[in-house]
Amino acid sequence: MIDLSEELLMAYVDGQLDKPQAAVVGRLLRDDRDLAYRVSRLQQTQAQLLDTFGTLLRENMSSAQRNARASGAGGGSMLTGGSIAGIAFGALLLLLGASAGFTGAYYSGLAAKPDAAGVQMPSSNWPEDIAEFHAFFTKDTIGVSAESQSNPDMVKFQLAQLFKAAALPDFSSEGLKFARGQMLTHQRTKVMQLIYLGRNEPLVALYVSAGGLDIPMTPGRFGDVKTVSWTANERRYVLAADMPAQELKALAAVAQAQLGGK
Amino acid sequence: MGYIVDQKSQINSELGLMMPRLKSFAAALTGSEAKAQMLLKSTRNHILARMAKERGHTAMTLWAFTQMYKIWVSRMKGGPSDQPEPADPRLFQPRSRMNDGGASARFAMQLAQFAPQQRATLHLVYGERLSYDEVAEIFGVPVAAIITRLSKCHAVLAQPDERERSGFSPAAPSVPAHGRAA
Repeated sequence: MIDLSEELLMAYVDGQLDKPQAAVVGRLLRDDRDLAYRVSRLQQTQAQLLDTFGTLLRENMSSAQRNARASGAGGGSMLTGGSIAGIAFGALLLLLGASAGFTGAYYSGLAAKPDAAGVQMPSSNWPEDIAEFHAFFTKDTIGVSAESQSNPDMVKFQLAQLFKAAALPDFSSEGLKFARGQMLTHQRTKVMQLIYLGRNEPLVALYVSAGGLDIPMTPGRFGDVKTVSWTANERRYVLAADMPAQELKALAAVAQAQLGGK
Repeated sequence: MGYIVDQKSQINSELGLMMPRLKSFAAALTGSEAKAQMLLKSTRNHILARMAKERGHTAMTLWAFTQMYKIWVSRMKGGPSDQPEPADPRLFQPRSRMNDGGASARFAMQLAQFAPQQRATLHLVYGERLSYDEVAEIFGVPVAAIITRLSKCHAVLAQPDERERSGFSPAAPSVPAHGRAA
């Protein structure tokens, strides 16, 4: 029997060990039934904790969105009243208003210029930030107006200007139609959000930014939002949608084939 | 397709995205809906006053969690009336799990009995999926303290009948210096 501490096993179960350490623990587990039993107990508790705290967080986030939509855009006192929903809704309106011809008057604390077209996204890690940001979008919040951002040629022009990328991915073979392009900023870097809508499919968005060395496709998720991120030809991409990971991966492969890169 | 130059709007936008997450953290820390709202409000005001200086220099969400924790710690040092009370188990039972035959209610009861820092650590690791390093940074403690804290929680949750022996600590009667708790 090998004596490994509960702390080490817990860190292994939580995925907090680096790869060499995790490989060693994994090997030991195969040969030691007692160790494997201890790990399985930790995994049971971990599963309960992940389910409970993950669900609580998701419920809180979706509740904030729901309340925000229900309370409408005219709540002048929402921000001063400390309403989370109001603030979340303001953020959403700021995002949508920037590109979708937003005309409603909303509370002064978050009032943006009607012609403003960029927003600052939360900062930390790129794919995670994108996924978190994407979680605030749903199909019914995307208004497509006759603005330039919905003009594919204008969006192609922007992509070429900013990222030396002339191609605008075409997912029509997958039942998705390009809806609009939207410029954002992330950690002072320009990011283009390309939104695609289908008849029944969930909202899909491809985020494009200037990047570095090539990185192969990597899956990720934030709540229900799945992502596939990669870097190719000095451009970073994150494809995000609330859809099965395999389907999203297939879409990413289509995009990658059109955009170039492995 | 220009760019917003109104920094206040940008800050509000970032803060808006963070608020539901801060609210969840506040609930885990305080164990009370009312106190969570108060803590959230104080933190929002604090962040709004300082966010402009921090943006671009740090991970905003981690920074916001840290600020909220510091505010909570300073309140705990304020006097007996500010000391944590037993947490409300309803805050730890997801609404979507209400009809699961009582399993989630029992689990929520166990979670509610942990110390505030233990609950908040569980939330950050299993809700926010932060690394141990990031959580240690938020609480201003060594990573080893976070691992010990989590390990004690696991032990209690795995063996609910042996709470006293395995490190269970009811709602903390006081907050140690610098808000540290193993």
